Amino acid sequence: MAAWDLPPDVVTVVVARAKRSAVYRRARPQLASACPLDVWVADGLGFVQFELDDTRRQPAVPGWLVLAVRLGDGAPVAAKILEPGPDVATMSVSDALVE
Amino acid sequence: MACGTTQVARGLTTWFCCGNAFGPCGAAGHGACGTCNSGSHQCAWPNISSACLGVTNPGRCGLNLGRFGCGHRFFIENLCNTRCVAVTIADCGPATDQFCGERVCCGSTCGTNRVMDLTPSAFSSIGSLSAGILPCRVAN
Amino acid sequence: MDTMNRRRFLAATALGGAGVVSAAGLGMLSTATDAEAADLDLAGQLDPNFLEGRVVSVDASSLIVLTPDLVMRRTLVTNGTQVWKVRDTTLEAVRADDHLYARGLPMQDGTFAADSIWINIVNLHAEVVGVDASTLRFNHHGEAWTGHLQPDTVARYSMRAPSRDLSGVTTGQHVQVVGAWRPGTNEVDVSTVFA
Repeated sequence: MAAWDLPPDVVTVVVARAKRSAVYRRARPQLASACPLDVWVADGLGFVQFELDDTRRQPAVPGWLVLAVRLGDGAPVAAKILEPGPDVATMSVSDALVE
Repeated sequence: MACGTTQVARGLTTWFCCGNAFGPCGAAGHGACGTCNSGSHQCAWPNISSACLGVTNPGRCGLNLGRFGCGHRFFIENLCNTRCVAVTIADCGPATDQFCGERVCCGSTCGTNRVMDLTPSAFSSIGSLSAGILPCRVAN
Repeated sequence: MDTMNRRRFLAATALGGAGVVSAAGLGMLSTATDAEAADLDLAGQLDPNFLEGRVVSVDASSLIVLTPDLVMRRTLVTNGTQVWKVRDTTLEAVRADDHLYARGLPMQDGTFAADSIWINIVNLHAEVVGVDASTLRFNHHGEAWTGHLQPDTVARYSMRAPSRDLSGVTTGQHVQVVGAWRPGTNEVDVSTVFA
């Protein structure tokens, strides 16, 4: 697992909070791995990027789940699914935070 | 334009894949430094740490390669065409001791022993990927 | 720098609205300046003149490639583009679900003008398990692989001229195999064996 240029305790806290969220639990069956692709902190938020497993999705489209959690209380503030867009050089973004 | 200033090693370079990669590279991960990507100008070096040196064991081929860690910048010259690329260390490799004495030539220009392993983007900037192995010079 | 671009893009996208967004923020659209200077400035960076991904579709003069960044890139192929798939070939040999590396020039409109394309190319450190007239069986990172020898497969030995004679490749030997991976399998069509 990559070090992500963050202190290990920060990585642990951010990832743990992301994984405690309902959106992560809903998305978990679709993830290629529970190990994040990337973890970073910006503007008081922790961001965690996961890869979606295209073999477990209908249709089988590759994608990412990006979760943003508040560093203070760990509450998820945003979650988006990113997939290849309908046109060249675009991406489709859908909201994963609401059920 | 000179390709680096101080020679570190001269021998052979291969190429390898890492990061988001297909086929046999799918499980490669991001290398020993956790940052490697096939599309980046990066390399593997046989002596990034004691543990690495224990695996690559260039001494078995009679090579004494200095220690340079993750993120260190090298200049790599393809001795067949003098093209140059700057790379940073992102992984441990190649498996030098499995190919002791290996020699690859282009005309009368030859390299012996594997001292460098480049990502596909770095290798393809100085030679064709289908060449597989090239004589090279490694410099700081 | 590219990690920062990617994170900025993803953070903004995560916090923004749903819909279709331009992927230009991933930092892939840039122009090459002086090639030599640009190469030396790119140490550790993603190379904008290099493309990797999976072929989604093929037409008469271009490929649609899905990159690891989940972006579709139209890759232009001209008569001057060198295409490799086991050997030097043409665009007609490329299929959907092939994977590629390409080197060329990113255009302002998001397309990629390819100078060289390598289809499914792999460069494998192999421990030879067996070799016969048509196959080279080997282990790569602990997995069993089959190399299909081609009429033009070449063996390159250290102190001999390259040849079609693979009798110098022996069981237990460590070799390097350059070839074209058959997608979805542990098989490669072998171009060159360094032994």
